[in-house]
Amino acid sequence: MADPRYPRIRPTSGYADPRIRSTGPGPGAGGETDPERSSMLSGRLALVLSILVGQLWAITVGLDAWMMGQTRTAWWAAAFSVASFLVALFAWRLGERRDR
Amino acid sequence: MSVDERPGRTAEEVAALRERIAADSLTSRRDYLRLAVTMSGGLAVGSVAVAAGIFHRHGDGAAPPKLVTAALAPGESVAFAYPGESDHAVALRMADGTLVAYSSICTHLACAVLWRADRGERGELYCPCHEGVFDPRTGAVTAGPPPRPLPRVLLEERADGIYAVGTLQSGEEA
Repeated sequence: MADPRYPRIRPTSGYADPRIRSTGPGPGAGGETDPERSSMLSGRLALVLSILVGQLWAITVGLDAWMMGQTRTAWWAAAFSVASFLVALFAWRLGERRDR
Repeated sequence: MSVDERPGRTAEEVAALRERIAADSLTSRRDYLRLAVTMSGGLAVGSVAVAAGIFHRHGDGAAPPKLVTAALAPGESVAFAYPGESDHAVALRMADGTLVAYSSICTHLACAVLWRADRGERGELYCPCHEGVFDPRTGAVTAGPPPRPLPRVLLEERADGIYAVGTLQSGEEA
């Protein structure tokens, strides 16, 4: 709905316009009821990125072990990687429900 | 100057560019999170595939003894493949007469490993790609980036020549 005083300014003015870098308070301004949500999103992202580093390490160890004939170690590394993925999935899906 | 004010661009190009920039500006932390979780799943699948044996190891599979060469003089080497056609290997006789053979596929990035009698005190198995060096007596890594020793090929000297009779995995002792 256009503002009667400034009819050219609409609630979505500036949205997705590459020329505008700072849009100011948007249509949802003032409606924030869970101010920790953003921090939690950053936290989940940091957790999943750390998990990725761990998985890269695990696949390196697993490949090395398998090439040296230590199949058992390779399966342990695979199990670690799958468990890490489940934690990442949990951080993503569980947060998604509380998010938005 | 904004993207649509620059001269020499058609309306279609400008529209495509604007759409791309707009999409970039909308990539959020949530999108990164989703991408990171997808990558995590890919790595988990990759780790399971590695453990299940998706990659070929030197010496996987059996083969009957194979004649490598009729004779090998001290300081010389010969390239062959054993047990499979893709299992490239190198047999060499060191100056003191010791006969050994290893996979000639570097454990770093699979370049060809060469016998260099002129390098080191007793010669070296040398990978020219990234300066990887292996001990010709044991196959162990002595310099450079390779993460594992070279897999060994077992040889047998018979009356009619030198035969490859078996393989050991990387780091395995006879």
